[in-house]
Amino acid sequence: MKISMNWIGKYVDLNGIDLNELSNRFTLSVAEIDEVIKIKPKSSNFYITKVDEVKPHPNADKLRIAVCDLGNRSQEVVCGAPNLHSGMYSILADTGAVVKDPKGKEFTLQETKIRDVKSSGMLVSPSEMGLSLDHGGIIELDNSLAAGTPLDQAVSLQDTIWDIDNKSLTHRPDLWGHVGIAREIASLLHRDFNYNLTKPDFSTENPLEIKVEAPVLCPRYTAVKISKIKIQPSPLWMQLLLFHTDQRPINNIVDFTNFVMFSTRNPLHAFDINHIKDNKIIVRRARPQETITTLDGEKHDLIGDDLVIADNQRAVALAGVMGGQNSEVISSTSEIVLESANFKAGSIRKTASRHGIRTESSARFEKSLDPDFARQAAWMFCELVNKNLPDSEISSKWYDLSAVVDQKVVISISCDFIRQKLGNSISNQKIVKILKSLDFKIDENGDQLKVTVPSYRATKDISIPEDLVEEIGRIFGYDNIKPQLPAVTMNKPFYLPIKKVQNLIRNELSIELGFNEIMTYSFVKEDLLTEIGEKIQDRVALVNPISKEEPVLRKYLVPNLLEAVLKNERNEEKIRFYELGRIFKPEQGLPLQPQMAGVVIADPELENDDEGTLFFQMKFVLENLFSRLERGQVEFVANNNFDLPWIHPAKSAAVIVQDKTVGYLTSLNPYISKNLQIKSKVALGILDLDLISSLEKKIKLFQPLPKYPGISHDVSIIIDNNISRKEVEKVLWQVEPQLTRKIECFDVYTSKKLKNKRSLSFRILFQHPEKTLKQKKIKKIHQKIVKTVKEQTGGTILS
Amino acid sequence: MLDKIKKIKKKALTELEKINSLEILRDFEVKFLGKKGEITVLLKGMGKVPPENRKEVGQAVNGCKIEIRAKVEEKEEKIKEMIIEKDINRKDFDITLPSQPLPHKKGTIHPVVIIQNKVEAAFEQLGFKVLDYFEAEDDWHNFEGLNIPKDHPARDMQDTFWLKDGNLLRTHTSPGQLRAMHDYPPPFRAIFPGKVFRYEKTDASHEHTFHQVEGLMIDKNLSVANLIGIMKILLEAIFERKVDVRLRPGFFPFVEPGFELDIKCMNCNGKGCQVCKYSGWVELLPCGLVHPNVIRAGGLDPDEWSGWAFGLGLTRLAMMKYKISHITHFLGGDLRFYRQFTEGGLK
Repeated sequence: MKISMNWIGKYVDLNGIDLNELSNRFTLSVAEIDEVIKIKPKSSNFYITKVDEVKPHPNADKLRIAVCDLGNRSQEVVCGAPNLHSGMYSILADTGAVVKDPKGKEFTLQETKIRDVKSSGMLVSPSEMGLSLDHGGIIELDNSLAAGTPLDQAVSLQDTIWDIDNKSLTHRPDLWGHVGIAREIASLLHRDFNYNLTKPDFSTENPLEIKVEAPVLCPRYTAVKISKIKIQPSPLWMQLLLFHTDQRPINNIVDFTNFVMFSTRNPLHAFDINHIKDNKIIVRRARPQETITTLDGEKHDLIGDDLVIADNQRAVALAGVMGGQNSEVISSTSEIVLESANFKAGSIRKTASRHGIRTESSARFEKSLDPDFARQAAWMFCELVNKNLPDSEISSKWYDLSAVVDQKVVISISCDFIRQKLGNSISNQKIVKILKSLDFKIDENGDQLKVTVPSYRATKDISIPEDLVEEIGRIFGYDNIKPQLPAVTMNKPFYLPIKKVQNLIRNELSIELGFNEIMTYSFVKEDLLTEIGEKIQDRVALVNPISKEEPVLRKYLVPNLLEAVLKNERNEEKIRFYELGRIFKPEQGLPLQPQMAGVVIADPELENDDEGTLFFQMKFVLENLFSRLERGQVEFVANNNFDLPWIHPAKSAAVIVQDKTVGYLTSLNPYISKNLQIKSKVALGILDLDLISSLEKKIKLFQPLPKYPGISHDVSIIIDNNISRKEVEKVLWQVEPQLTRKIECFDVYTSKKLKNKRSLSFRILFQHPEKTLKQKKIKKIHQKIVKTVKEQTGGTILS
Repeated sequence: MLDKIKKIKKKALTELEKINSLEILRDFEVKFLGKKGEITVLLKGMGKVPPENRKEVGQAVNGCKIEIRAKVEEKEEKIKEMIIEKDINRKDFDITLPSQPLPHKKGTIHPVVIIQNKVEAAFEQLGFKVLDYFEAEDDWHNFEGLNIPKDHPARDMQDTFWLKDGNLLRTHTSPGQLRAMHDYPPPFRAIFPGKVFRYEKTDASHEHTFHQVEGLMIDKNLSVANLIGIMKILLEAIFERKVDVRLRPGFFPFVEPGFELDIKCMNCNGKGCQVCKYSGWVELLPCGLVHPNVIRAGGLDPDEWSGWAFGLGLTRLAMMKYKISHITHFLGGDLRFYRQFTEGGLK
């Protein structure tokens, strides 16, 4: 919202005030000013002029010649503006005046010829004067200033504008106009706030019929009739204020309603009374199948929750949002009904969003305006009419239909409470002074205050003692409060188990094993799921997905991880990455949202992975992870129960810890590679971290160091492919369990010559707790190994 | 000539039938369709065909070529399928074989996590618990319980992803305030970092998913002066330098009074520059004393307990620290981005 300091100056004296300092103070105490804009148009050689005559241009269809009255002289200028007409008042920039071209570049006017016609100066548009970006036509003025008056003598063109972010005013309906901002400024400056409206003369009797059928949605409706209006431009001073605050002047009536709204905060609406059937205004809910075409030309189908202003036959406005086309004020309007009303915030908000119309009006009503603003706005409008349109007259009484219960909000608060909340020693006197400057009424009883909240702050802004603490704090200035550390109770040390698991995994993967941690979205694309062969059903779905392509939340990490493989495989050689994050599964109440880890090893270069290199690398990664996690030994067990399309039926295993399946590792199912056109070979490791962190902690205990040296003994066993390394190792352990300390498979040899067999080489460490083993003993053991292995596995040992 | 074509075609198709590996199929292609392949040679020999037969013979050779090409493709699909079938049905893959170490490579931690770890470490030193709460939340925890009833304009400020089951994706980490008050007896202090979601289109500086950390302290008689004091020392720990802070009024329904906390621009030391839009200050985080309604919703008595809370954008902090221009990189999955952040490690 744009706030003009000239406008503010109407209500609080800004003489001698440093506006830069004021804007800083305002930002710290009220709301953030996004930008301070200084308007400094060059104003010499501009004159008020009356266009006496408009002549055609001999050499151009679109140009005309305006004969301009400058009081003591007359001047001819060429003009292309569509709104040029004889008798109009405008502004003439004489030669020597500095104006702006369409790109905003300044240039000095000189006498010139346009298509062979001499032109001295020009009639200017607001943008050419540097007032606004509007260049739809030349400025039109009323006749209150005489032709020939130098512009810089008539008005002040300079202004300082604050641009305040509307979002920072959401909770302050009273700040949606200059009057409200001015009151805050007066309080900050300790200056008087001059805002007094006198009741205009409403004595003329001319009956309108006003009926409010929906008082809950319209707590207050006021209306007055104004006659003998001549639609013409509004006065220059008002046009300037509107220009400065980014509004486009239209005509006196429209400009007055806007000016009043941007002052008093209450939107107004003027109806052309000729189009109000039977002089009757009814505020009611829309009827079934009722429609309205609003001022912007859009037709809306209404429902019973929409409030309309209607005459005896039809809706003439969508209440508080936008007027109807059928009763619009136009250039021939001579008599209007002025509506100044208060509408219920929630209803306006819903109607505005239902019909997709956000207006200055709806934005204000939906903030809960003080019903008294409706009075102020009506009175101010009538005052403007009386002052500026001497021929017009207020031709009805002031109809004021109010269902507002005058209920004062009174808050009891102690000064000590305020001091405690702020953490500072502000005096009672200062507290009272600040509250009074903001229009609060105070009933003092020592430290205890009974504070009556002004009606315009009571609609929703201020209701509890804490709200008053904020008022004191912000005007006193939070920068005047000294930082202070609290004295606190000691808490027990605490560590969330899942956090510890996640941090250990991060350190192992990122620091030790060379993985990049990535993050992907919690959404998943439908076509990705289709290509993978996953169904979209049985997932947590969005009502309003960011795009139709991503209608559901991820139920697994894998699809998004595979997408990341696709994204990277062109740029990368050896890919290693992981993501830690939640997945979502439908459930009564909240979805289940376990924390998962998804680890990916991918190699775009690898032609085939029959050996399962990536699989065994992933196994290495998981072994390393679990060696850190203090949850005991990890085991990898073949498992055919995983019903997931990316699992490779042969090259996959369940990850088992403390007899629980906490995840799996797998080579990527080749069908998925084919469908997604992933050229890399991929291995995946997926872990349920919530499950892992819930497992009992297991500490690997210290093993006493051996007193006597051991002997390493290597054996190579030729054995059937379908007997696993693990089974063989188990057999080896049984041969001499007392002496065996360690068995390690250090080589696997396959060859076509071995047909369905392969060679597994093991290194076995034998050690006796109380003596040094002799080679003789090892030889004996070896015989035993050969025998046992043969008997139990059919394997043969090469000696 | 036509006979010759027929013969070659028959020979080719018979050979093709027997092929069962991609290597042999490649050899076959060279043999028949390659530069010196039998069919290519036929095409080259067209010059010797009498002009009146050329059309007929030409068509025959081309037809033959097209047919064989199609059969080769069909075969290739079949062989690939066969390879896949063989692969997924193999019985000789011994998953119990020893694991294989990975060659050395440098890894990285996600930039948001690097920042998050720093923030967590600073708060942990002051006795804050680090908690973790759900991303899919219910209306009560995200709105109602935080003093944002239905119809409240503040709901507009945070456009929401709604779920079909009636829940929503949390628009801020603040639901954790209510959960923490229920989970832990007062007094306590805690932070809870995590992903949050806003229903808005993405561009260089807007993203519908980003990371925040919420802080909450519940104790007796907490004041605005305490809030400023703690925020200042914590921000100094996070930024590892002196930080000047200031508070401005800010409206958030779950705090009263509510503030925007600004820090003096670190780029220009408050002199004014592009980063701070020449104001000398950079808006960093919203904070405030917890609204009595929220304390009540957390199951505590606001006459006895007070609190302060803040919400800090971790994604934004990472962007500030590393001068990252595009917010969409964070969740974009491009390793060239993540690899750049080599800091961080054991916490």
